[in-house]
Amino acid sequence: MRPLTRTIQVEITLLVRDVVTILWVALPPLALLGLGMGIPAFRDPQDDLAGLRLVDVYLPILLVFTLALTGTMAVAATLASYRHQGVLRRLRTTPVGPVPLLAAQLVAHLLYAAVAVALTIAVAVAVFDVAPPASWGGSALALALAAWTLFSIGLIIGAVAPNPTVAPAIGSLVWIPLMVLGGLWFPREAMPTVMRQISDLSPAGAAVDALQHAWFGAGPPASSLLVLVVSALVLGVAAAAAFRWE
Amino acid sequence: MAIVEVEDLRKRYGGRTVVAGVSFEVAEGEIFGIVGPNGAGKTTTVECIEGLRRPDGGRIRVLGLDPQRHPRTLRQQLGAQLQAARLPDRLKVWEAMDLFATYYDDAADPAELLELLGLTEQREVRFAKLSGGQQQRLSIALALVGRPQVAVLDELTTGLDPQARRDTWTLIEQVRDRGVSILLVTHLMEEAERLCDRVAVIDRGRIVALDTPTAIVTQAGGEQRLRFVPSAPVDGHRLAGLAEVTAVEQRRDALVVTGNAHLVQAVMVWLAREQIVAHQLRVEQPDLDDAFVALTGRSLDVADEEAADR
Repeated sequence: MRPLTRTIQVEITLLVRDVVTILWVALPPLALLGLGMGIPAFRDPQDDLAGLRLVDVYLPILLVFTLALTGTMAVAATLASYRHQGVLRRLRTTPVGPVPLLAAQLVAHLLYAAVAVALTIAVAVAVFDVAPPASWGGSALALALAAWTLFSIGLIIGAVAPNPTVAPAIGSLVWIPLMVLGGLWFPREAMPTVMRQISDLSPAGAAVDALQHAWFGAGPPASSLLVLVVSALVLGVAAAAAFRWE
Repeated sequence: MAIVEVEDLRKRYGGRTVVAGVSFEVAEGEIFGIVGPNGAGKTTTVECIEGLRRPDGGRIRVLGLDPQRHPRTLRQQLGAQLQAARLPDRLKVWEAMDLFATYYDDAADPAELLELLGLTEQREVRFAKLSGGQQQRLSIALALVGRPQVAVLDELTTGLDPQARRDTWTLIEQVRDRGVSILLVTHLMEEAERLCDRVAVIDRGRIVALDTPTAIVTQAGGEQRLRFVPSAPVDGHRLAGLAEVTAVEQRRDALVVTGNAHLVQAVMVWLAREQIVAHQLRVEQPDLDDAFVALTGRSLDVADEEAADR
């Protein structure tokens, strides 16, 4: 079997063996379920949300949250420990080098995030009658750009963290403000003007905005797509530059 | 034919010279040791050979290949066991072997290698659950899975208990008997003496001796030491008067006599003439540790401490 295929299988196996990451997969759909069932107001259409319900508004936020957690916590921790334990250095002495491992690691985490995203959407549609996306392509594009950006942040954290214990601490310091701007604590619609403007320019804020418009509106606005593309490029290049073997 | 050729290798980190002109060759089928204190430049030297680091000067050929210019071709033929390199905690033994086997064009049978390394029973065990000795054996197995012509093993018995260490030594000899040339890095002189056909003693980035362990010890001219409990009081001054004896020391009821290569014979003849019997007689031969002291003017422990202070 080819090295990359086998490495991807192994990385998925390792991810499935980690109980903590498995629990994380269930977190976003359960959060949506809890908010929607626990707070009746979440199921009422709101005038200031253009007739949308809070469950509708929170679906894109939770999807971006899933990608943010996977990137800043799981990807960062795995990379930091592979580097710290000398796994990358060991692979450099083999003919294939560590690139298949790094690629497989990203693929495995992407699949893992995709499962959480799918479960969350399933809950939204089955339990709360959330309408399917108005623009499938736009939604997929917004999610893909968000994943690229947030995983790049995870790679940067994994590269700068001096050891695997520090990586989750840095990850938390990053995802919390990221998701404040993404609207996890109060949606972007409820933000004061200045904060909303900062949110527009932040990766998570732009991702939520793009996804919301793709799902419920006329497609992702050019402004938020531009912010996402620029973030993806800048953070992707920064991740490659920050990368260290050991 | 030389499997590894190193000529005038130089490497600096920042302003500090770590390897200052090292040259040696590893012959086919040989177990070649690089020994010396911590920080002497041993690991840097082999990392240049493995192609992990780019030398600042000098020439390296492994199986005729330049590690910097032909890394992929070389890595098909070179197995490496790195100092303190681990595997993912939840990776099982067989999965690691199976995965590494896909990296090589002509891989060995993982099951057979696990059998050789005594890891068949641990097939299903996760890396983090293996004992230190088992983890080391797995890393040796992974270094051999590509059927290499040369294996570079860096500090492979560090952290092992004496029994596991001796088992590993036997294993390395078996690997060599299968036709693999071995480059061994160690700061344990005992390990080098026991295993290596030839040894390069490195100190502060330079080779201070390169020969068979026995020849290095002989050339360094270390002293023999004789220790016994005499059946009757011995006149230390008269014993010290023997040409072969350099020092006599009373330690409680035992006598410790040091001297040159002919010490044992001279002392035994003298004792017989005095009608004294030597009880609990022990002869201590000089070893590589003593040779290191003779070559560098300080003990290995002191040299290790210097490295720690830097």
